[in-house]
Amino acid sequence: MASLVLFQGNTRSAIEHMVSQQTLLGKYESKGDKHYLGDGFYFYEDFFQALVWVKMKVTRNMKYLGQPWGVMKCEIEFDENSFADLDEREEQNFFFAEMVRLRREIASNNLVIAEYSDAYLCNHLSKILDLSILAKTFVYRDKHNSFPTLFSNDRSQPYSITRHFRTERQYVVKNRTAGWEIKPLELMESGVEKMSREVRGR
Amino acid sequence: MSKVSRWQRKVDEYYNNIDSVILLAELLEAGFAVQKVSDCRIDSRILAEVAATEEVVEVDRSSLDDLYTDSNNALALRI
Repeated sequence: MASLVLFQGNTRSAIEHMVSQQTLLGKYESKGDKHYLGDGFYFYEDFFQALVWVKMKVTRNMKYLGQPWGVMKCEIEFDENSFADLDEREEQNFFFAEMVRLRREIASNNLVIAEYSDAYLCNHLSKILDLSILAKTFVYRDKHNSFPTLFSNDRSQPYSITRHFRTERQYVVKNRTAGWEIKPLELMESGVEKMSREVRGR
Repeated sequence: MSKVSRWQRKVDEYYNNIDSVILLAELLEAGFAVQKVSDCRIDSRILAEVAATEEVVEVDRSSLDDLYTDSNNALALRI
């Protein structure tokens, strides 16, 4: 068995609920194609990444605006064979090959899909392979903190645009009854963000 | 055998042993909006009618891929 210590930022009520039950609860599972690694419980390996993320959640997402937040620590044990690290070259090759194969299989079975989604491919592969955890580093651009225009007002040439975007390594723990075991969940830090008058008025 | 090689073998077995109905159900479960392409039967009377109205002189069998059904299952011909 392998193990990881991971952190999740969430509303304090969600974290307190899971900590009290000492398990990941299905009602807090992330679902849909906006989640790059498919359905499941999302974590970071970096505590501060979870902290930054949850502060953004309660200050920018209207659904959670102004709610008390928390960061939960989770130690998880899992079978190494059920862990897909999509930052590894061999595992990336596998993923891309499966993307191509899915397209071929869809056509050869006289099926059509409205739209491809990485999230759904992750769900599909996770089920076939009994995966418990997937991880990958993604780039993101903080639209509230863009840099390139600070350096140049000239017409952009490729070399004048920064390619150094911020990155975050995400982990998704699949909602399964086997394949992983949660060690004690604990609330690491919590707080409430002050809302500006402008945000409060939305 | 490496972890990825084992995965590869497992996915090979999966696709080799699955029929299209089960695959459709599993892709739906994964979240894909997927549907079966309707069987497209070529009706010679319709082709003759199209030929008469659209001045199609001959229909090459190799172009039958261009014949498809729309979502209402109505026959359409890409000319």
